[in-house]
Amino acid sequence: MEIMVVLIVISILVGLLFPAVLRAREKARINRARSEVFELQKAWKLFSMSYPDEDLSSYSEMNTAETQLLAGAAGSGVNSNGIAFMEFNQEQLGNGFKDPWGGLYKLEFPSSTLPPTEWSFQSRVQCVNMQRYKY
Amino acid sequence: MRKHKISDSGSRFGIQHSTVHTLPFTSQAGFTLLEILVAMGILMLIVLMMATLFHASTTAWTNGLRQTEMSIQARSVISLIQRDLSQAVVDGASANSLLECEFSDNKIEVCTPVVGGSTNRAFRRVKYECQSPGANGVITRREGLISAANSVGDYGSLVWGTESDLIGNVETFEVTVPGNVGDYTTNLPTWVGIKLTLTQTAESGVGFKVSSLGRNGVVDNFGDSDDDDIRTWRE
Repeated sequence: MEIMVVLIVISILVGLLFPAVLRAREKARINRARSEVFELQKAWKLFSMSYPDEDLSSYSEMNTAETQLLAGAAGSGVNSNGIAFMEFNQEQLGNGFKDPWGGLYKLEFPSSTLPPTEWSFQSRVQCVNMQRYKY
Repeated sequence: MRKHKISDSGSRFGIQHSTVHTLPFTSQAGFTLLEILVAMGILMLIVLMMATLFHASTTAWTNGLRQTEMSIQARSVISLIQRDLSQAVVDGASANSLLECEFSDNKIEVCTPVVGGSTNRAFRRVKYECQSPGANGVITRREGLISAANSVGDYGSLVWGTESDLIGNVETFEVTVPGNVGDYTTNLPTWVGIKLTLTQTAESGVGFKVSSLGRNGVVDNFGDSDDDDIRTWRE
C-alpha cells in the first residue's frame, strides 16, 4: 500500500516535471538558434567587407558550399584568401550548417541594398587631323 | 539607540547624520553604488554613440574610395580614347574601306598613322566598343595593323590584335558627332563627344538576413499563429 502511494506520488512529480523539462529544452534550442543566426550574420558581413565586389545574392542557405566558403576551407572558391570568418566542425563542413531542429540556416542577401549610383564622365575631343590623309 | 541609526530621514545615503567621527570631514568620502551606476550608464551611452558614428564613417569612407577609383578609371579610359581620336585620319585620295572611320553609340573605330618603323605609311586601326551596355557593360579596345601601301590607295591587309577590357560596369557609352553619325565614313568630324556612364556597385554589408526556420521547418510570416522562425531582423 505504502509503495503504491510512493509510486503515485513519484509519477505525479514526474508528470509535472516532464513538460517543464521539454519546455526548457525547446527554449535552449531557440536560444542557440538565435545566437547562431546573429553569429552568421556577423560572419557574412565580415565576408562582404573582405570581398566587397562579390555578389552574395545567390546564397540562399548554409549548405556545404556556403559553410566551407565562410570557413575559408581549402578550395572554397571566392574566399581566395582562405579567411576563416567563422569556425565550423567537421560535421557542419561536410553536411552544411544546421539549426537545432536539423534545418539548414537560411540566408537572404540583397544583390544591392542601395540603388546603384550612376556616374557620368564626359569629354569632347577635337579631331585635329580632320583634313584627309593624302598618300 | 536612535543616536546610532545611520539611515535616518533626510539622509538616504547615510552620510550627514553619521555619528562616527573617526575621520575628519568624511561627508563625501566615496561613491555610492547609485552614482557608479549612473556614471556607467552615461559612459555606455557615449561609447554606443561613438560606435555608431564609427560604423557610419567606415561605410562612407569605403563608398568614397570606390567613387574615387571609378573616376580615376573613367578618366584614364577617356584620355586613352582622346589620344587616339586626336590622331585619327582617313584616306581622302582613294577612300579605301580599310581607312574609313566609324562612329555610333557604343562604338568608335578610327585609323591612326603609325610613326616610324621599317614599313612606310602603315596604319593602326583602333576600335573602342561597349559590349552589352547595361548592368555589366564592358568597354573593350582592339588594335589592328594595316600594312604598308604598295601604291596609291592600295593597302595591305588588316590584322587585328587581341581585344582587351578597359573598364567594367558601363551603363552607357554615348558618342556624339556634329550632324549624324552616319555622315562620317570617309571624312572625319571636327569634334567627337564621349559620354561614359558607370554604375557604382551598391554598398555592401547592409540588409543581410539570416534565419532559422524553427521547429516546423517552413518559412513563416510575421504575426502567423505558428510563427517560430528565428530571424536577425524585425518586421
